Amino acid sequence: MNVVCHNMMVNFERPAQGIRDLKKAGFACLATGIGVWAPDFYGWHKDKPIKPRQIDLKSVAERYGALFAECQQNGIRIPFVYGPSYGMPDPSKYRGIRANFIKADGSADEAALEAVEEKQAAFVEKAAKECIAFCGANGVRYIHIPPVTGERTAGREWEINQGFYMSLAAKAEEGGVKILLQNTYRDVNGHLVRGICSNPFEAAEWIDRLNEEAGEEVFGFCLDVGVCSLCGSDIHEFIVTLADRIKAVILRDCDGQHDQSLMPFSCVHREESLTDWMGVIRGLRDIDFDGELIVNCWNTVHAVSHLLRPTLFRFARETGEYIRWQIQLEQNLKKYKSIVLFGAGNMCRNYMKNYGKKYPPLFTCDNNPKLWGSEFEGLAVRNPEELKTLPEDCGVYICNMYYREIETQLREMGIKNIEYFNDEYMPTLYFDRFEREEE
Amino acid sequence: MEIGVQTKNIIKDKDPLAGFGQLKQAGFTCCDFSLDVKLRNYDLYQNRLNGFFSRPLEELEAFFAPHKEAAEETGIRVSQMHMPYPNYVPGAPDELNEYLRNVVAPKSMELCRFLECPYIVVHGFKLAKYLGSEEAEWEKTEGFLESLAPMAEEYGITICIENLYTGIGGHIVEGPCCDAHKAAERIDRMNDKYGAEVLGFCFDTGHANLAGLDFEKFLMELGERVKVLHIHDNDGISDLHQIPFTFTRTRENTSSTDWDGFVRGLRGIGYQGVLSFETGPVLTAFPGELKEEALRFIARIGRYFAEETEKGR
Repeated sequence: MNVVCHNMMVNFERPAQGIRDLKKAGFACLATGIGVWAPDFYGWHKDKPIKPRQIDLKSVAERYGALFAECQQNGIRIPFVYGPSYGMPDPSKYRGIRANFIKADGSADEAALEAVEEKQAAFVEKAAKECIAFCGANGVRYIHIPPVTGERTAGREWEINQGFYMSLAAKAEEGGVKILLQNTYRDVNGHLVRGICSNPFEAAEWIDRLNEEAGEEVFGFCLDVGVCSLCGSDIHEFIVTLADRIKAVILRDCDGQHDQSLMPFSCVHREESLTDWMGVIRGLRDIDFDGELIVNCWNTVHAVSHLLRPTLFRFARETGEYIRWQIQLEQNLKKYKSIVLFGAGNMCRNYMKNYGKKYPPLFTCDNNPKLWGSEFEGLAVRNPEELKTLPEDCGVYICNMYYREIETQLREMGIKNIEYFNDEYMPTLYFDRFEREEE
Repeated sequence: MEIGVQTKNIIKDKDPLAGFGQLKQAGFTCCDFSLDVKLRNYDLYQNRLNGFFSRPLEELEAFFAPHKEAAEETGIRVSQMHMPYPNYVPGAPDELNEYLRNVVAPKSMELCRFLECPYIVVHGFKLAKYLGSEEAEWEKTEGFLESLAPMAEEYGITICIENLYTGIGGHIVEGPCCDAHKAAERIDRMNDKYGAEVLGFCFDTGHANLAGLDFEKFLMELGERVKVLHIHDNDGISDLHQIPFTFTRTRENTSSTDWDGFVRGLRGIGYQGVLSFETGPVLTAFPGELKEEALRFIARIGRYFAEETEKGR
């Protein structure tokens, strides 16, 4: 599993500083957009008439070559890119575009709309193919191409997207690149609700049908945690339903109402996170996720001074690593032939309730001499001094929130194989734990 | 299509005839009997029981006899009922949860029969956080429903599970029964087992809006399993139980709840049931002087939904 940095600061024309910052922060992988140059054919703006954008038809290689070269020089891999995307909004809803597609009698100029949509679809298809070829040539494993969305797709979502995705399948297969679909939202007059592929059964069916039609596993899924949160989805169920179709996960926080990309765990109410990180971690653990874990805190980064950003990148990397560690918690328990625990409290209890049968510890120990010789959750509680007699291939798992203090104690005792256990995102929670906490 | 509203904040035990009369005057022909007000959820979460359901059944029936008579007299049909909720309180003493399962739930079923009500809405257990998955949570809810199913079969009552929400740090997200695909399969499984419609669905528009569900797709997936409705509106953030079309979020001031999708969904599944509003809080929000007007307005919206739903049928 790679912890990947969403491109929050690396300028594709002048990438040196951004790449250096990433590297310094400890990131080894970058996820970057290579489709942002897709022209806006409509010249649409939600509220006001705008000048049609200048269409930049530089090739992908020409535009992103410097960024990829800089990454290569610095040993930064790019396993995932964001490709082009487009939507088909209803022009009657947006003042800025209405004039272009509404006839004098007030009715929609369907012919003009269809003509522009065809033109755009053809361009996006061409652009997407170019991006896929570029990915193939540069060792990029996944390209994220979200479904075509918008009011004008209503009732034809599958039909439109099936055609779009299948037009790309051969190119992807040829380049050894997987195309990732993504969960999306729909805007109901300012309220963001579930859109295309935000129902996990629908998303799974789409991917399976596309792969079946392609005759190869060319399509997969990129789960956007932010979209799940905006749509109020049960993230755990979403993940376990899609299971190994999920190849990448975008970790970003938001308040559940606005589409923002904030540092994971930063959006809180009182002392609780507004995003269901427990569902994310439990779900990814359940499916043994081993794909790309992309940390995206674009808005957080852009809200702080340039001078603070390197520090923020480090924190973003550590947050990603922490989530990876949580996902791999059980795998970590398999590292040693035998294990012992340190701590005889709630965390030890949670270990025993969740993993005690599968990975039974030899014993637990505690600094409280009153507990020595007693039994806790079926484990003998011993003096930490007994850790000195452990065999080489035995892991010592600290089951106490005073991790650093205990780790220092163990290191001073010359203990090896020190590991942390954590019960914040256990597979199950027990009521008695909470009762005890309330006391 | 008939229009109904919940009895909470309208029907008073001291003079049920006055409340039912108000409903009739406002244009309703049905009501959703709020049995849940007899055992409040906030009391249950504090592990408090008030003893209401400990009375013998005969006494409970006698208590509600004036309500039944008043409904009959005014021509209001008790078309659905809400069982007290939650049906399981995580972390509460076993005695409380056993009481909810063995006393409150079966007596609610008995009272549903007494009021000649065909549907009773129940809340699924909110346990996914503790048990680790929605599947494990449903298993517990299913056990509870199974305990009531024989009564439902015998009395010809359909128990309706409802799409609920849960909170993540105050952010509302989907809770039990928000997956139409699974709900449809589970309802069919139980009904096949009993050879009767012991289980159905109550679509709650407000909860669906909070969980960002696609109303139309959700209704279409459940189809004729949708037996009753809880119609109400909110801002997509809090469970406000307000009048439909109340909330907007953009400068255009168009409704931020997908009422068009709701109507399309009802039309799509050929819904013929009652358009029942769960808008009790509206009646505390408006001054007493405007209560009757508010009720009339709710009924008018019900007629609008009925007209729109029946268009093109």
